[in-house]
Amino acid sequence: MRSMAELLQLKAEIGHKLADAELSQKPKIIVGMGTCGIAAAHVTLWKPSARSWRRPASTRP
Amino acid sequence: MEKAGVDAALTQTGCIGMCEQEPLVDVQLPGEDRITYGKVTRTDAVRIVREHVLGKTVVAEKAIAAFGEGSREDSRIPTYNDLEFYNKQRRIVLANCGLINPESIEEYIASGGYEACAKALISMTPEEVIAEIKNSGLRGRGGAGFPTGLKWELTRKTPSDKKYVICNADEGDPGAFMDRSLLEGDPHRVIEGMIIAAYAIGANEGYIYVRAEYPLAIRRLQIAIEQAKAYGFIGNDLFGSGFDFDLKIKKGAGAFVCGEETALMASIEGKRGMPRPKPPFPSVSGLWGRPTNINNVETFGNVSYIIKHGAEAYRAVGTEGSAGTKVFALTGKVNRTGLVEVPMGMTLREIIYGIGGGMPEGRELKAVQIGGPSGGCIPEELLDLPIDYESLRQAGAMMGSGGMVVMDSSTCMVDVARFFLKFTQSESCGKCTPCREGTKRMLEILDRICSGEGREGDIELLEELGSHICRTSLCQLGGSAPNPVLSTIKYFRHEYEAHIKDKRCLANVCAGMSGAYVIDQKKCVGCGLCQRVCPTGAITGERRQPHVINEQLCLSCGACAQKCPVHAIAQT
Repeated sequence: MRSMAELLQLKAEIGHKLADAELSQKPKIIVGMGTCGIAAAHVTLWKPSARSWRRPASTRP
Repeated sequence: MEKAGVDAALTQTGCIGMCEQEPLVDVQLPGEDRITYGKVTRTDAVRIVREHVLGKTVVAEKAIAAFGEGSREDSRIPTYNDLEFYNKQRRIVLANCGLINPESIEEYIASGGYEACAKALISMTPEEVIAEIKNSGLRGRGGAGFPTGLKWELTRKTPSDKKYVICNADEGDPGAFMDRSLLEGDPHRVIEGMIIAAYAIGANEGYIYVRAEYPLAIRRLQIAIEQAKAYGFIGNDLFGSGFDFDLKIKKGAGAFVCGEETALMASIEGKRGMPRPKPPFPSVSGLWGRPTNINNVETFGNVSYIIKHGAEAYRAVGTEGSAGTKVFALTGKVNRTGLVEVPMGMTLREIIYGIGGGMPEGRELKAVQIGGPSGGCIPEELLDLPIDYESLRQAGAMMGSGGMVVMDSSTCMVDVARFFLKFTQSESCGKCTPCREGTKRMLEILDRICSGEGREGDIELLEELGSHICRTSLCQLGGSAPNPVLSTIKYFRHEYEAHIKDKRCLANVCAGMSGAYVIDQKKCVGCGLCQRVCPTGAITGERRQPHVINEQLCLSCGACAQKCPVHAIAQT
């Protein structure tokens, strides 16, 4: 990358490409793919307490 | 989808923060609003594809929000701006998380990515970049809150033929997942911040120190670095400025102490991760004895916004002493758990009740643990405390990296203090005596208090030990380890006294002081749920007949009482 103009031109080209993909082609399904934070937090936080030793059903991956 | 002949693009995004609604799936039809579906099960997924993707009809009862400005005809589906969880947030660092594909540099560039980097390298001198960061009031988001611009300036001014920039992604606080979500959701933002910092201080080499327990974050960082190299954002003569920069990933082995900057550098150097005394500070003598600038993931996440929009725009958010926003991992006994980014100065009440939706089943809030194991517990009466560095410090807590755990009346504060101290004690590297021995002695006292063997004078002994450890430990892990104990003694002293004097745990949590559980034979319907959750097999009974608990086997864990649908189980 050499200049701001080059970056902005690239941005415009990508913008057109993405807009074309979204508007004139096919449906898009976007899946949230991250490590589940809450599940991890519960496991880490509450493991010593037998009261909540099971991970809540709603947070199981 | 292939089997069913569905012609649609399947892509991914990072975490948008609504943990309580996961798994999330968005559907966007050509020319229409993007719709988010929450708590999507396997059956729901089939239905969404069939009805929405193929049939063009939104599955309204599963839809939780729509992107866009609310121009939709279907008023049953709110926009993201209508959701209480989002409309009180101010997303600067998390602006792209949950929106773009983190594995696509094109989507990052399309959202304005790397423009700040270009601006800094092409039209600003390193001194101007540092001045802009100083004027913005940005402070380190890793916990201590040291002014970022000042840190950069100190590193810049130290003469050396070689300097380093390091991103501290060794996020180890229990309950915290801010850095991981940012790295997984928008890795290029962190990389861009690092390039700008490296240019400002004159470093040609950078490291991202990230926990090996974050495999997805590592994978996405690797992809992002390769893409940035391919596009010429990392490499030689960036933007024709003559500035060269290379970036590497260093995986940490999971030691909590490696989040401390000198221990982190020792780990990168291949030594055992242990802190060393300061001074010299890393800005003078850091990695391999060279001037080094270390910032946290979230700190780097703020940099591109400041350079792009200016220091004034950034200062307009937050308070005078604590500018900008802070990302928190909101967890525990709160209705809407998740990752939130709020302007500094917002009160705890606004976060927990306004964004988090308050307590489940109308329970009473007891305390908020903020700042991870080094932080403190803030009681209900201080909920109107504004979130900024100074206010939290005065209350006996600290900003920390951003863990926020909400607790209700079923939580024993002595047990909480013990849990956090147990964590820091087991993570103590053992180098300095106050931390190694002092936390061990404190934990022994807490163990005996929780098992009903507390003695008169234990509270005062904890206070004295804690105060010594805070003052004399080598690093901040030890220096802040007693905080959860000291803050719970400060605000919940009566709970400690009840444990010691009355041998009572007010929250019925400490097993050593809990009575046995019994089943009310008149109420029991014989459903068997308690039998299934009992970890020791202490419950017996025929189906549809009243069950009984064997006192000899019962651990008093309370799992059965929590599960019983007719509330037939109680402690004696």
